[in-house]
Amino acid sequence: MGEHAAAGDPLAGTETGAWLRALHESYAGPLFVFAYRALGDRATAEEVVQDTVVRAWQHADRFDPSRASLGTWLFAIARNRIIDERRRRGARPREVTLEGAEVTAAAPFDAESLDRAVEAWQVADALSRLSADHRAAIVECHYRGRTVREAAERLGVPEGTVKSRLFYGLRALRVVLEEQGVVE
Amino acid sequence: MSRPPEQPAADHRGQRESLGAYTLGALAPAERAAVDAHLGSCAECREELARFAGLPGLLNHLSADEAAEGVVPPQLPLEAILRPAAAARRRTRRWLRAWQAVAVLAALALLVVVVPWPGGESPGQVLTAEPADPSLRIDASATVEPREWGMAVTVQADTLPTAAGYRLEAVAHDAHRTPVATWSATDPAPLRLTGSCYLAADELSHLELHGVDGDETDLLATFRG
Repeated sequence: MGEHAAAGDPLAGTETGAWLRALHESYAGPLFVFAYRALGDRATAEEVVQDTVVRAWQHADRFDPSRASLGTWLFAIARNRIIDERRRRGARPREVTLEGAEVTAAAPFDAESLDRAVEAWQVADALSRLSADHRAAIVECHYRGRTVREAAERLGVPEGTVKSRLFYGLRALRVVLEEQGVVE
Repeated sequence: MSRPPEQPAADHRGQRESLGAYTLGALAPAERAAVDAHLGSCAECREELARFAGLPGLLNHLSADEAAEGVVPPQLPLEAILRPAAAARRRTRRWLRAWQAVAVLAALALLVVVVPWPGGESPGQVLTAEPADPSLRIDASATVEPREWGMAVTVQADTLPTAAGYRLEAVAHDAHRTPVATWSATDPAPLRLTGSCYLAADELSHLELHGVDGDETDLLATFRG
């Protein structure tokens, strides 16, 4: 235990609340994305995030920064919780089929999936800060691959409005990503 | 490519607003060609376009459905756990490690445990409210009953100062504090509710009642025996 503190126990001599808050701010989002991708439903994904934070707090003395980063450790806790959840579900018919095959595919865990979850979270978070109009234009034209004309039809607005929303939407997105430190 | 001596302002503005659609590849071929032609003569627009260049790649970190549905939960309900968890942890001594599990359960339980306690058990210790400020009108008392896991605190309030919400905290002799209950204003005021916390009754110094309005909290009263 003493050696653990010497190795940089995140709780040693610090305000636990501050640590948990920092942990929440840095990892709750990525953990949510990770769990959501693995389980396909929000409510359970949120439970996994909560449980992960509580377990991390309970077992903080087991965290050894010389063996894994805090993120890797947290994701390992979350992964175990997700595996339990899947096992539990395996005994019953699937409750949710949000994204079909994507959801049922296993979520392998490695450093890359952590990175991917963090990146996905950053973009999801940035998109959530845009106005609904700006976001809808970007979803139509980028994610659905529609032209301005098609998007205008679907959204029921003139083409010029779609162009304007894409322009100002991307600008806003850029500003948010800059604030997050994702782009310079 | 020949450069027009003057760039018509209206054209510049129109072409510039097309740069988002241009970046995402959503323009019709003729429109795209017009933007290309404009870019050849407008450094400002080239700069703007360069700033958009990395965005499509970043957007691809999300699937279309994730982007459309949003993988951002409305609000992660962790905030509610953080405070009690933090309080419990601070209090936990190393030799009391087993307490942590109990404390987590208590912390989680107090999120929902604002239910009437079956009356008629042990009378418990009665604490009366002393207003933090003499101008505040408060008529309230709290009954503290020791429990195996900590203590149950029943609040009886006939008059409380106006606040959007209230928070009752237990303060230990060593100044450690932990939440007991939160509730919203009721009309009419008389109210009886029971909260709980993991603090042992003999560790309790006093209770504090805070009024909560948005981010503002005010100490309204202390309850002492």
